[in-house]
Amino acid sequence: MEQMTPPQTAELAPEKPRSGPWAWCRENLFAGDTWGPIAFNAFLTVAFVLIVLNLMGFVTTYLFAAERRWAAVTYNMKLLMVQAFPQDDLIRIWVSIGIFAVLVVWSLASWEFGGQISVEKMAQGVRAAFVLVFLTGIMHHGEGAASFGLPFLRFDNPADWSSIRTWIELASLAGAVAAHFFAQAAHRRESEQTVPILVVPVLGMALVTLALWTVWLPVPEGQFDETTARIATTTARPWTILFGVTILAYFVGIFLHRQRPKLMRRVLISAWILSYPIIIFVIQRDPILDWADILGFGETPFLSSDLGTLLIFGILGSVVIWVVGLPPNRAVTGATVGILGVIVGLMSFAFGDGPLWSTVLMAAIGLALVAAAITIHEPVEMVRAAGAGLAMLALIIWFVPMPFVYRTFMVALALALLSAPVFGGTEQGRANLVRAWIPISFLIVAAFLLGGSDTSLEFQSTTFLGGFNLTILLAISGLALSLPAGLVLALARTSSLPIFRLLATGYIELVRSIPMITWLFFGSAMLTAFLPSGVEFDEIVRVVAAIAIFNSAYVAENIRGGLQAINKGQYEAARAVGLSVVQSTSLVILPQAIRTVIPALVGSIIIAFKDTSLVAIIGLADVLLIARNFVPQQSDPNFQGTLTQMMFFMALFYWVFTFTISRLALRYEKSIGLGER
Amino acid sequence: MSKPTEGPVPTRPPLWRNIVVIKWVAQLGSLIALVWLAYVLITQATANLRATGIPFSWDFLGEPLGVKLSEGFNTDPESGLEALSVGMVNMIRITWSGVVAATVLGTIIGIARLSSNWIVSRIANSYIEFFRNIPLLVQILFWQALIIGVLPDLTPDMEGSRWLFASPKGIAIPWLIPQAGRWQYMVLLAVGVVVARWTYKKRIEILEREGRETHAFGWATGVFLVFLIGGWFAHPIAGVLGWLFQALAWVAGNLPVISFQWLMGGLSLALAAWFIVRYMRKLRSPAGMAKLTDDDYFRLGVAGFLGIVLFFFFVSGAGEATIIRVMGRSLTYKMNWGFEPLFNFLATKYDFSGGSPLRFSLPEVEVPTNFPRYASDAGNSMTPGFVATWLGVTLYAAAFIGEIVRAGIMAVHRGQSEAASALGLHRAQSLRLVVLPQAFRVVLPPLGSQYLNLAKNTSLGIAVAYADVVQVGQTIFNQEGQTLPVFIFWMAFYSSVSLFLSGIVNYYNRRMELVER
Amino acid sequence: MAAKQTGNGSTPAIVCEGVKKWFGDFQALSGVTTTIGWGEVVVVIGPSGSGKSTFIRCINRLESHQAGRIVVDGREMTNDLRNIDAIRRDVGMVFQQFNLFPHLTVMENITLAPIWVRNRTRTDAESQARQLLERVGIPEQADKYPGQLSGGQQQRVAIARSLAMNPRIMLFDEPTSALDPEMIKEVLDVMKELAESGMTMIVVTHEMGFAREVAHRVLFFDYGTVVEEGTPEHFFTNPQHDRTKLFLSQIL
Ligand SMILES: Nc1ncnc2c1ncn2[C@@H]1O[C@H](COP(=O)(O)OP(=O)(O)O)[C@@H](O)[C@H]1O
Ligand SMILES: [Mg+2]
Repeated sequence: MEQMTPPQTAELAPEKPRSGPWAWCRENLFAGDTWGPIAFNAFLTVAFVLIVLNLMGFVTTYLFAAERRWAAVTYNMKLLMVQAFPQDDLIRIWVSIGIFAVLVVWSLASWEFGGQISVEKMAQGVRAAFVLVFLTGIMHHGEGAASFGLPFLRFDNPADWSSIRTWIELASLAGAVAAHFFAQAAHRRESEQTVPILVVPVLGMALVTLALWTVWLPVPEGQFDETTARIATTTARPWTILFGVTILAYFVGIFLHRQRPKLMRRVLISAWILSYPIIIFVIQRDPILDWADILGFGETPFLSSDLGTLLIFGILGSVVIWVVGLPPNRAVTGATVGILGVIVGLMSFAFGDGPLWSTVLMAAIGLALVAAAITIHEPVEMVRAAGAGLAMLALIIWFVPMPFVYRTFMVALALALLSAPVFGGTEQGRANLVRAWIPISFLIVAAFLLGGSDTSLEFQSTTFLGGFNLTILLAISGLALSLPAGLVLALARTSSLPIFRLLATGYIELVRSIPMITWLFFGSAMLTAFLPSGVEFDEIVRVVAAIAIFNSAYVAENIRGGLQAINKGQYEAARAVGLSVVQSTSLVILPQAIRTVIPALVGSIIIAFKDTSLVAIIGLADVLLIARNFVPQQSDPNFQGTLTQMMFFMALFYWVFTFTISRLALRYEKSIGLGER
Repeated sequence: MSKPTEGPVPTRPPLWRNIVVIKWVAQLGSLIALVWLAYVLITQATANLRATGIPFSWDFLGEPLGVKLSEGFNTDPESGLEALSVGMVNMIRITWSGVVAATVLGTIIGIARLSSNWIVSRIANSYIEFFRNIPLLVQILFWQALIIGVLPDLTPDMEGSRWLFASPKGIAIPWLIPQAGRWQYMVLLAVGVVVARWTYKKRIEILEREGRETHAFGWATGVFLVFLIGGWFAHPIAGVLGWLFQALAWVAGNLPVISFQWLMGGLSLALAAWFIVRYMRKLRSPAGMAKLTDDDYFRLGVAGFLGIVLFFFFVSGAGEATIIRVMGRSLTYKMNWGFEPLFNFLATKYDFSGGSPLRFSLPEVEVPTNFPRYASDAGNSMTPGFVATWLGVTLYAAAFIGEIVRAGIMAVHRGQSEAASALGLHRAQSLRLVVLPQAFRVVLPPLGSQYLNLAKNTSLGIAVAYADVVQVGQTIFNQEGQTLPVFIFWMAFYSSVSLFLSGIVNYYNRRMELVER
Repeated sequence: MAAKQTGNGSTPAIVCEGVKKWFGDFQALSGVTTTIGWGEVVVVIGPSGSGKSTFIRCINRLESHQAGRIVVDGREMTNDLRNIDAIRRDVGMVFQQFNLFPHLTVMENITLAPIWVRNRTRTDAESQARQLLERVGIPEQADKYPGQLSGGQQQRVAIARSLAMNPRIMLFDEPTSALDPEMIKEVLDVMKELAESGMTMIVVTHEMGFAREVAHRVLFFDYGTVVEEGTPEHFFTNPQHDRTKLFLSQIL
């Protein structure tokens, strides 16, 4: 990437003589060669300046009017962020944020994210920010200020200026002037001086920290307790600690990166994947979560507790994959496959309380399939056939009564066996397979903890997940599910096999033609009907499933775009050197495709994030529902009728998030140089 | 030189190593597994629903709903189907007006974004960044909050008509209210569009043949104006269509059902046969018949299979029942639904009576009790739900359309218009003949998908109680518990809308491509 | 015939009998019959669109023929998965557009198939790759990405990538057509060296000098079939067919 810098500088226009503000106005506001265009542009300029000033005047006047009760936001901040999460346990939320922040800065360090921003540019940015603050302050006026549609005329009515605002105005004016001179000086010196771009977010965080310790946010009258009303009292200390930890972690990350760069990246990827279940199930866990049950020394027998299940399947699966991952001789493979078939076939007895004959029949069919696999003469094909047989078996007993988690494990094991001949075969390959299997087992068990049914415990996530916490959870879970699903759909839609293509196309088009809200209704009100009786997932899980159904179609279309952008020759070359279909796709095509679609995928992430707000309609207490219904209508008489300002706040809140993500994505897009191809 | 030596005797590979066999077994196996899974899920769902005491049924379509709708052509529907129809019409109403407004606004923004005027392009840019980064639902709720929370209430002293009312009860604007004569007038306008188009083409032809300025656009506008103005007075002529509709109604109502059945059945077979013959003919070339691959067999097989299945469907009892429904020979869920009632309805609208097509009317506030409200037959009074949803989807879509338009113009920018002016076209000509057609081609596909998004986004009106098809559907399943049928209904409705919209886009796309060659 | 017998059995390297292939309604191959012995270097020439690429792509089953038979190293190309896999492993192919994997380094490009298909250990595969890079003359480029190499270097990496599977037959589809003139020689030199080492090669090319110098036999393709074949001297000095004469007059 470093090689890319010279052409960029080369593209810069030749240095122009510095033009004054007048020349700038002439060029950009009153452009034109003859009087006609000049007059037209002048008209446009004046008209739009007036419109914008009036609009800003209206907005600031509304926002800062005396009767606005912004304490509705500050006081309810905890409600908005985490809803009913117990006050005493808030440390868990902070720890979650801390883990997230550390992972982020370590990733920044490890992938050497950065780049520099010139001092001049930064000074200009600071100047713009101060000017914005200053203008906002001017706009604000109280009742009865004279106005002729020209908001700046209100300047002459300082009667209602509170002193603090005067100070803010003066300070921002001074700041703007200082920044301006700084920028000028930097420009005159033509200094190539730069600062790391990371300084900008650090400064932002520092400002927030400072504000939390100093700014006294308004407190409504009435029954409020002064100590809790001020958001700063509860958040200042944790936020400061977080700030320090993040900065420290960044340098630690840099140090680690210097020592063992490859290892660090590998660990980080696993850490990102594992951080999700750990944050949800371990750190933010439902306070009533019964650890005895999970660890297997409670009422449930150890073998059907979560830890037991994890151990059984983790170890059993690892052993099986280890043995067949490097096909030994026929006898060993056959024995392994046979034993596996017997164990899995017998499992349906262990939990069967349906009609015995059906269980027996299904197990028999599955065992026959596995047995047929053993008759094949080559170990590799034997493994393949066993995988197919197991997959059939798992599908068949999917509806036999037994814990859902076991069925899921069987399907996963079948898939692992199917891929063993493709990705195994070498010492390293099988080690990779086993390494992949262990976190998969962990994720499956963790997912069933959240699902909360048919595992060894009752777990009602709806009761403690809420607010912005829920929004994030929904967005991440929905994406995590829809990425692999979208990948499979995209591969099917671009495959040469007509039935697969037809099915995938049908699914994608059907799903995309229907609005998301109907899918959410499907998830929340109808999904349960399709599950075996007695199996019921928590509403959050069902909604995540609905989001995944919906998102996967969009993700699939994005990935399809990437697949189609790849030269057909790549696939042919991969086949010509002897790679199989699956290997060609996963080792050659997909890595390239994913790289090209990352910008589009970030687009989907933004859309997914925005779309989570729809769950408010079906009554999940996400941040939007709280802001719209709970705060203005239910929580407190003090906040009755604050709907409009809560909506103002929501718009700003979402905007800041989405805008930041999209800017980061843009920066990333530029850094990987999409112009390259 | 070397004659082909005999290699080893060719052996057929064993089935499990035969690529073609594996390929089709895998596909058919997956298909069967899927069908089987669907079957299991459906039986499961049937059983589960029966266990809850609300078995799957479509009966609610014919039963009275007992709920009033907030707006629509019939706020007090007599049956579920009628309520859903009101919802569908409301959805279509907001969609098409939103599409028109968003296109206009989006185009303006896209052009403004490229303006050389710093303020204008900055404002357009901020508009885009602002509106597309806030969830649409938040925007809709925000507009609703503004309408409810910021606008002043109606007061009794506002009684009477004005040009504009804005209050928490909604927004009322002047409107052209359709009158009895609109049906005939619409026909004349449609004829006017066709004739104007024809005139335009003819004038262009003359221009190309004789090389003189023919003012094609002016002519077309003139012709249309003639129809617009003349039609106002002459529209009763269109009453002749009434006879046509009567005849159609008679055909739909009186021809024996079996004749429709055989017609449709024959059509299915004929279509399949046509496809197969055409396919085979394509594979034959002067060099001889190509060898059919397994994929060819699959396509031919599917075509034949579908043809035969459709044939048997139409000649069976199920086909008979379907045709009776579609023709409208039996009352469908207490609604007069089908071709015969439709044609009868149209026949009553197209008579030779006069009556002005449209009436201009200002909104009005009336005070029947202590509470002032908008008069129902004056102007166009829009509910807060409608206004919030409409504003939301329109402004949101306009941001995306602005980006699309900008990209479209950029895509053809410099070189093309320079080339055009090098050829001696003036600015307007180069815009019309060179830049716009090309920009349109770039813009059309993403624009089509934005329209689809807009159509789907109107479903968010449910959050502000706008009675579109989703909101009505939700009301129904809250009342009757019939969640699955309602969901299927939604699926069918929205898929039809999507198919319709993408059909239009594809049609223009294809025409554009033809133009290109 | 100078072809050396290096194959293991008595069967020739490649036998084609009446090979036909359609794309939809277009017949790209209309009955190709030829036999290629072990160690033979066959150059295929012919006008554009005459089916040269389609022919050699049928030999390693990147396209499947629809009539006739192709026997490679005693294995017939049928729908048998195992034969196809085996043949792909034993037949290397070099493309006009190189088709190197842009997301992998040169080293990874070369070792990918040996590791995943032949189950070699990484160190083993890498030491072999180094030898191959040495052989094609670019040992110092191992850790670069394909995008950082010149066209000629890329094509030599592509040859090394094919050789890493220890193929017994190599197919070249216009390997020098996408190269600047000054890079053509470096690729042709590698191919010459390969031919001298006794590799069985089918080369589609318009490099007549290469054909004269290296080929044992020349096949002339037109309208999907072999119109004329013979030794280079015979072919270039004394062509029989009108089509061939016309083509040679245009190209020489
Ligand atoms: N995948 C394909 N689909 C349709 N037609 C093809 C395909 N590949 C090749 N053809 C056609 O087959 C003919 C022979 O192509 P090719 O073997 O590439 O010719 P050559 O390599 O001799 O130039 C050409 O007319 C080409 O258009
Ligand atoms: Mg070719």
